[in-house]
Amino acid sequence: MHVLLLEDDGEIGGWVRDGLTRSGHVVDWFTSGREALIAATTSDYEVLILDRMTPDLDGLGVLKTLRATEVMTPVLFLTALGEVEDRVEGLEAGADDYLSKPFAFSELEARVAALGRRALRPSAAEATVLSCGDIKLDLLKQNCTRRGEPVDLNTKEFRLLEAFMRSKGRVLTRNMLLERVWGLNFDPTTSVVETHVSRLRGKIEKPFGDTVIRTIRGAGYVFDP
Amino acid sequence: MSALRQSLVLALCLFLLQIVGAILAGLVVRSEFDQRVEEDLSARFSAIASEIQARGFDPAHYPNDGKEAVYFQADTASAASAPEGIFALRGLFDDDRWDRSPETPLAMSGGHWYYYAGEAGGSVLVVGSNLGTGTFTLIIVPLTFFSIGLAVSLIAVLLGAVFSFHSQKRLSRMARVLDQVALGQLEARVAPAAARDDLDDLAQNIDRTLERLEVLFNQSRNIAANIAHDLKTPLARLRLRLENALLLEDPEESKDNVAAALTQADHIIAVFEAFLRIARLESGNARKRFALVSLAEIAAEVATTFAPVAEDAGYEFTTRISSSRRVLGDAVLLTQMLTNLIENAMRHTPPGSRISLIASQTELGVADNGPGLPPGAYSEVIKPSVRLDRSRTTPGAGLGLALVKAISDAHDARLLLSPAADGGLYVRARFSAQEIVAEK
Repeated sequence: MHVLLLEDDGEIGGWVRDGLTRSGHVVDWFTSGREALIAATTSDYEVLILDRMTPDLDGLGVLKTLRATEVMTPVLFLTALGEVEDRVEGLEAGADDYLSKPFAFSELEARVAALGRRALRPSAAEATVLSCGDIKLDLLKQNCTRRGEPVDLNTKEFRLLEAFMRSKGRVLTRNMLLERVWGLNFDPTTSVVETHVSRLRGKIEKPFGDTVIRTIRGAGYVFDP
Repeated sequence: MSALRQSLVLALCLFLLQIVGAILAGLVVRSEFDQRVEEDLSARFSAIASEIQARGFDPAHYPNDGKEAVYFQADTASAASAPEGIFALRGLFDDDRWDRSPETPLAMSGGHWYYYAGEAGGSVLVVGSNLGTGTFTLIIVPLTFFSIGLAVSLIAVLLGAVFSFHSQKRLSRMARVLDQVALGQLEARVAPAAARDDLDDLAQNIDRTLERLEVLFNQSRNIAANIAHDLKTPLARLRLRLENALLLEDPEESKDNVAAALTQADHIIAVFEAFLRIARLESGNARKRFALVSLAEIAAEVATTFAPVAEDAGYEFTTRISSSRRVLGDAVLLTQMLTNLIENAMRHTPPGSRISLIASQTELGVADNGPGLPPGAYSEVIKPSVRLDRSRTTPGAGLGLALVKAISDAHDARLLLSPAADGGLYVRARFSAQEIVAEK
């Protein structure tokens, strides 16, 4: 993917660029908001990573200008220790996702990948029935079948499976799941995600004797039936 | 000394005003007096003139009693040219052409004489009137005003000095206290003896402000100390791990150490975030995003999330939801509050204990049947970073209940800690009446 990175800190910028390059992305790194804005309007990027505090023009300004000129490229917002107000402000200005520093690289990588695909498949959100392999999820009737057999899921397990199916083949981190399934923007110290994933596995994998959710150590989970 | 100076300046102004008043009064009195004298004198002149007209001039008729002197000159020639009116004459009578009151000297002296001259019976008549001590209008009246003014001014200065000395003392005391505070002695107080006037009110206001300042200052000082304390241990561990990773030969062991260092770094970030969240909540910004939220819904949502977690960890998890209220609040914050309470319960009770999530009409809380708290520790545990000795070995940042307290405060709720019915700890937030709306 072609990724634009706006980050004025040399160390973090270099680390993000190198990491994303290693995962196979092409990264253009800018340290000034003005330059990033010009590049984002003139070249075609799949994801923009904007740091909130940058010289000349801050990330929020870049984002607002882009959205005002109808550049709808997905934007991942970076900020130092995310204030809830900052998060809300960023999302209201049109950011698609938000990550507060300091963050794990796996988290950034997973979110960038999710944003890129989202840009490619905007219609997936409107589907009322999701199906991956032999698993079917009816969002209207709130029921789930695998190989034609009904699988009894509670609301959390259902939402969890839906999140997995919507990002088939991509890494979902604990934090992404906490945000999407539970709406939590804080990290519980207990194993909320692990417990629920394990319960979901007990219902969707165990009776069928295979594995559809893989655990990626130190990163998260991948749904890959 | 500004108050004293002020009162002196005021008194001086008063004094100057009195002098101006005295001068003006003197002038007015004098012109009034002159007019009276002229009227009296001219009336007297007319009376004498008509007597002379009728009977001629007889000096014996007009003895000089020191108050009146009458001169007459039977000279028709000068009568024609005689001026008429009032004069303060001198030296006019220095010849013997005048008939005059007996024992009247040629030139009058002693006292202040006014003369009325005019034509009478074809001759010149002059009637003089002694104004007695004629200094009356010119000196006595202004002098009276002046001395009264001086006395009043002196009294004003004295009273002003007394009052202002009293105020000055209190003002100086306030200034001194504020100076002390500026130097960092936040415990200094004005402590007025009574509440009688505006100055006392001001002093009490200053004291109240200082009281609040001292509390806040100590709080932030404690928080800073606590941050330092809470971060020092993980930082030490982090450093240790990194040093190990650098020194160890075995790449596998190095890797383990780096992984452990990463865990410590994440812990440090978590502690930091928790402190920031508390600070943010205490700043009162959270209220801006408040909306009506249902206590029952929040409790049910938390229960579906945490019941499996608690059960898998070996706890019995029960839910008692009887609330039908909505409160003005932030659902995510209230979820976090319950999450912290549940996690605290799991951290500080042995597996097998029962954890209950309770949403009664106006309260949201968590109870357990674990060992509870030692008496006296109830107010202690909600301070940031307080971990009772017993829990030193269990993991946690020690910020759980402090965050709960901050969230509860942000919702104007009262955080209550009490022993639970079956011996454990029951922590709940009781929402105040005005925040509660009955559910539709």
